[in-house]
Amino acid sequence: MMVARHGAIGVVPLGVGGDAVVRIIAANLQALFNLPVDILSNLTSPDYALNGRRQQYNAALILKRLAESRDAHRRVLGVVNVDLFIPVLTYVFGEAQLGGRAAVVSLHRLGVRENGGQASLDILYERAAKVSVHELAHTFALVHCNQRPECVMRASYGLEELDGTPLFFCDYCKAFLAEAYRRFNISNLDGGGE
Amino acid sequence: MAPKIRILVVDDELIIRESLRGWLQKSGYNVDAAEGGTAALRMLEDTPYDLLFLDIMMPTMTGIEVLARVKERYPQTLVVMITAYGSVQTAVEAMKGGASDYLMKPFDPDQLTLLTEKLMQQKKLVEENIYLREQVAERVRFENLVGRSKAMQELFAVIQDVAASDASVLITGETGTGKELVAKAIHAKGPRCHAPFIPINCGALPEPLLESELFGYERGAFTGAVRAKKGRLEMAHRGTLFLDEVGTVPLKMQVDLLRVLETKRFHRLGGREEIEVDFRVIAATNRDLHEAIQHGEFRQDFFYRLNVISLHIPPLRQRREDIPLLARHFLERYRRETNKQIDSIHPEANAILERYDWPGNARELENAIERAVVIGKKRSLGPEEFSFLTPSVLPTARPYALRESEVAHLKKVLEDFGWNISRAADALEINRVTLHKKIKRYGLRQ
Repeated sequence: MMVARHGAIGVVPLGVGGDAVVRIIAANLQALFNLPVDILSNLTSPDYALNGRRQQYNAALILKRLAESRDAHRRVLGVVNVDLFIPVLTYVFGEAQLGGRAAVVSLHRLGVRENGGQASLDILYERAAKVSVHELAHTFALVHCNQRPECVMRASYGLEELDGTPLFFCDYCKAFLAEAYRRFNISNLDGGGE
Repeated sequence: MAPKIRILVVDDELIIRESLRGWLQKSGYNVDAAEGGTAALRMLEDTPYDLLFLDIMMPTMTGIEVLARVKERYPQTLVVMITAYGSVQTAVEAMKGGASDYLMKPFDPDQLTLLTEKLMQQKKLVEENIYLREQVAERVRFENLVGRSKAMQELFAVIQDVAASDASVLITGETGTGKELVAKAIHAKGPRCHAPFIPINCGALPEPLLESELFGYERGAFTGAVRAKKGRLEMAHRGTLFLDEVGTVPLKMQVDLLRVLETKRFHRLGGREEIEVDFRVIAATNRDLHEAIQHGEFRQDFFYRLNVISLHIPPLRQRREDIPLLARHFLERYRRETNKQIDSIHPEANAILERYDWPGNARELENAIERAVVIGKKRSLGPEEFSFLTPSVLPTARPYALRESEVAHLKKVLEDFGWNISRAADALEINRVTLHKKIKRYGLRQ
């Protein structure tokens, strides 16, 4: 396991078996955010967030726990296998603190086809990468993009829409991200460490 | 990025407020939250929210009650009702009450986002449509002709009838009633609408200047005439000449104008060439021309030449039902001009406006609204923005009744002392108990 480095993004598997998808997520985050990414120790499934009535896991509680973790990473992305929700919605693929520290992505619904049945692994990996990049970008205060349809920050709420979303930022969102790095005082890989 | 739409989430459950707020903020909306109807209505006074998500089941004030108040005071704010306990009855009640949609918690993520986007698109289209319609209205010069009173509806009908003809029109009415606007409307609706509308305020110009403005002059016609200039009679060729305050035209010029109206020919000052013109004349006056004729100040033949069709615009105090509509109309204009987020007039303020006599008529009302918009700090214009309409000119139902005088005096003293009962009682030289009794008896409220 890599040692945590100050200023990097930390990816935290929470009860996720097999680390291929986590490595693919980490690699895409590093590529698109141009920030060093660490994969942290696998923690247990977030049972503290289970809502017995809904049989789903409250994303807000997971985010709170992640944000409060003591490691030095500036941003933390949790990866779970369980089905996530927020109180007003039936489900979410992922959730994030807007301008905050934590984000979470769920693989639970990403591995199925739109019309049921199992999706192939490459589709699962691509979807997981897109949702992870999207949610993590919210922690840099990026909001949904309506400037370009070809942007990972466009809002997509169904699997079909997600599959049609590209895995890159449009020029506007790149500019907003650069601005966010300045505001949050974060140096990217090209600029070296802080 | 998404436009800065303002959304207010109203729900008594904190987790609902926070999760909905967080979700909507990620789409770039400005989102606030209120824990109930009272808080929401208070926030709406200060902030022009575009959209409300309003829970139905709340203690103290239900969502349906809040919906009614919102639609009454802020009709441009869209409302989506949300509930965990849906029923056909509440859904129907909500939609009849003016809600734009009705959602059951929890919603599907795409349902919520698509609905929000759809409503904001609709709102944008409606606002653009209103703006474009007002632009068009301005081009045909109808924009200030607003009124639902019987008198105004009759006037509109007459304008439609007379516009098509070429007959002269004499418009009478007090100052500020919109005589020029009626003249423009007649011109705009008539066959000469593509030709110029040339106004001249006869009362604003001294006689020599009025003559040169109307007839024009040739170079050298008088000292200062360094080049030839067309007069308004020529400029109005094929169009409409509007003689405002025609009652002030000097007698000699009335003769000259009468000749032009009858022969359609005239000479410029200092000119030899006869100029032929063809225009429709509309005249306006706030003067009683019959009385002026009797006093020898106005020619009867000139009067008959102008008064082929007579239109009278009643003063605003004789059609008080038009006041809220006009006030709303002026508010829209000045809200846009000042870019201030003021979109309604409080019912108490409307009551003040309706009680006032408006000696300056619609023009005075327009000035009052403009002033109120400039000084207004909240989203709705309230009585405080019209405090300059001094109480002495507000008519009471029974101006000589002792009770009315006492009520008015008590109100003034209480307001002067900020409703400090002790100080007000001292000033009135009565004891506090007596003052409390009078406040209760007359139903006075801060």
